[in-house]
Amino acid sequence: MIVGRIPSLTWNSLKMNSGVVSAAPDIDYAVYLDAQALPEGVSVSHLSAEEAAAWLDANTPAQEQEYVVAGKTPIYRFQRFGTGLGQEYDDFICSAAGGDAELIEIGEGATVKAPVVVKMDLESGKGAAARRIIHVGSGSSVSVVLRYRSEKDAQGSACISTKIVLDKDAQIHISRVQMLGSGFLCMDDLGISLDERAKAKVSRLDLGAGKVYVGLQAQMCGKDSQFLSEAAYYAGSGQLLDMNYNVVQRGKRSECHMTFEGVLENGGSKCLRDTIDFRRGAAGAVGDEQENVLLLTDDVQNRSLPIILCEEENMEGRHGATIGRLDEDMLFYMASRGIDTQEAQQIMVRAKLESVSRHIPDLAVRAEIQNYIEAL
Amino acid sequence: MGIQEVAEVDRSLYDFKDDEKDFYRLQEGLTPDIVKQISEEKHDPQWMRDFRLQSLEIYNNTPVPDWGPSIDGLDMDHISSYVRANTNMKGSWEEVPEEIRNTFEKLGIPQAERESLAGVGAQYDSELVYHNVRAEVADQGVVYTDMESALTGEYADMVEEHFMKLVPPTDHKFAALHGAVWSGGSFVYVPKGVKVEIPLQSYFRLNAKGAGQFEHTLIIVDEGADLHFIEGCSAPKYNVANLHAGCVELYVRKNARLRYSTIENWSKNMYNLNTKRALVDENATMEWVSGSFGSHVSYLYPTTILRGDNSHCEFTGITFAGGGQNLDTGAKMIQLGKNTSSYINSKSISKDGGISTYRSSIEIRPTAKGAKSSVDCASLMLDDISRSDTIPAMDIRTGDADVGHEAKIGRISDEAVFYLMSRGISESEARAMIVSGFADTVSKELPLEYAAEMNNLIKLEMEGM
Repeated sequence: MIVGRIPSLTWNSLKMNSGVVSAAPDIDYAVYLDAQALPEGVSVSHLSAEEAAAWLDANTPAQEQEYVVAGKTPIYRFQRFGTGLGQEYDDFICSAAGGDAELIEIGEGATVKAPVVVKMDLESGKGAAARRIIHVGSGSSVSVVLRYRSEKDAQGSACISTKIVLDKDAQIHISRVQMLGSGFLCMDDLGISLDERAKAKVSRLDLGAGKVYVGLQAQMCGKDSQFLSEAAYYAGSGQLLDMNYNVVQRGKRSECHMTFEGVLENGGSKCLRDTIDFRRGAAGAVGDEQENVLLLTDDVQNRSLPIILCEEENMEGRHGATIGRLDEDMLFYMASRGIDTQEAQQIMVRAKLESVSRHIPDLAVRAEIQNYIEAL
Repeated sequence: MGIQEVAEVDRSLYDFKDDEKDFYRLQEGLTPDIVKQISEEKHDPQWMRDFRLQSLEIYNNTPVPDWGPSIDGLDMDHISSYVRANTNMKGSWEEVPEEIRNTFEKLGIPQAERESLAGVGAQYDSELVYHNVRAEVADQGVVYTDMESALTGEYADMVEEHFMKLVPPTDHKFAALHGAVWSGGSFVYVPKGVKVEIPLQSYFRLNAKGAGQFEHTLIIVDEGADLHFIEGCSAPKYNVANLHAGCVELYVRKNARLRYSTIENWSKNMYNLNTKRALVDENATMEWVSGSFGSHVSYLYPTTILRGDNSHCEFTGITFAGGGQNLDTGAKMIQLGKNTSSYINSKSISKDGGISTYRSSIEIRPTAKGAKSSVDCASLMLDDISRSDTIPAMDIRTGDADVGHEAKIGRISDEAVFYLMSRGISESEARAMIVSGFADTVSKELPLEYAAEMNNLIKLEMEGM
């Protein structure tokens, strides 16, 4: 399965144009929300595959059919509601989970005070899937915490798809924490469409699983919409982490900020493809992205492909990356205060991961993360 | 062949053409017979004839790239791969036929040779028409000659050892095409410890309509030696596609330094599918300075393989894409040796519907302990009908490396234009000044005469804003 294809291809020899999942996993069961545990103002209903498709068609802004980039039309299939992992994954999860989806709705003008916390404790030796659509009505706000976990050495697969529709002035904060066992394949896909003045914040933390494929696409259709993404990850012991983020800025004065903080050691491998795509008409738009990767051992592999596509004159786009070891000056400073190299590294690893975990609005989940990080 | 849509820009300085009367021109298309004819014309040794035919087979079996600008308008069945003016190569400008001499006079080549160069090679369509090197440089043992002479002369073994070893025909479709039909170009050898104080230059002029130019440049800078090589290119504009698929192979030996500067100003019906690659040994330095102004479509990514420990490479480039142009440019660094370092500084400008794409890759392999790399790219959008993309890749396979990357895309600041206008400068002049300032990092790396030419090209492109 080809997942997370970038919108403008580059040299095939780099093998960075997409992620490749050698075999689609078997799915044994679907994971659903506990409707009784939902906070006030949040409702959930079940949609068949056909109903979900019809709902998305009726409730999402029109998107351009043709993606012409740098004089070439990409060869991949158009996706009606864009996500980071793309159409092939969409097709897979629709059939794998039986096609049905949970529709989580927050009506107009509602402020949901308590976060919606979804804890998925996955069984070893099985494949799990969850497919959700979240609709936040005009002027409403909600915070959602998604926590995926299993036993430390468990194996299996977790395939998740979340599509979020934000109406005018709607706000959402999605926190997603992945602490699956080392034998897990995790595929986690996200698509967000933002109407006028809508705001989305996505905090993602990837700590476990042997192979992880993460996707995100934000379609910033409305003027003055805002998208903020913060991601932190740890990949060691031969873990593979493949991420594709694609933010399409169509709305006037739309604003996007993305940060990625990562740690690689002991054969860990990571590939990040992140695109900011300024479309004509997005006058006054601002988009920036920063990636910082700490390399702790020699046997790691870091691949980064930060892309800016731009057909609008009146915008500001920026991306930056720093990839390397701990700074010698900082190590010297630490040593002068009695902190040795290993301890300094642990401090930096914790600092990177906690830069995201501290924004998760659920104390119990934060405590779980803390314990997990301490045991790394 | 469809007529190419090219925007009208005043390029009268470069846009003049000579009649092709008495020229030798092979029929259009690409077949084994045409390749054999080229080989016979050039009196190739047998190994080169075999190499050409093998390359043609690779070309026929290699797909066109599925990334980058569209090259659908390029039809090899309508490109003549060999056109020769009715002259042999000369060692003095007076002996070059008057019409061709006038062409190079207009481009200022003889004057530049007198004033600021150690040697000049001038290629007109498929063949060199002039080659000369100053006596004092030749006396140092520097070899600067045309590829055909090198192929059969004193340095034949050296050429056979190095020819298309850095850029094999299997590299990509147009490297294979080059291997099949290459013609012209220069061979340079700088012996151990020799420092060539003033630059050598090759100038490539493609005059013929619907033709291709496939020159091959092979430069070997031996241990401890130092060279600055300048490459210039231009062509008149036609309403059918022309093709440039040259190949540059550079060997920079231990402790040596090579600077390779290019001002590319092909006409805007040109498909510029050029390949440049350098292999750099221990403690050696490679420097690329690149200005891309012409062509309808360009694929150009000078590649540097830092093989030796402590070797270093710098790439400084600017791309200016105007109306009807789709210029895909950048650089590739492959770091193999310990403590190698690379630095890329790239600028691009898009205007009048032009598309500029900065594309790069930094590959730091497991053996490159202590490697460092820094990339800085900036793009300027001059209107809302143009396009500017940056696609930089980094692949780091050791933890013992430090890599930094910074990219920015923006437009000319209204405040800066307002400030200049408040000092009595017109808006168009103010914008041209700001763009020249933006390009300053490249022009200051060029010799004065070439920096002036580059600034002139920017001025030409900025006219009519």
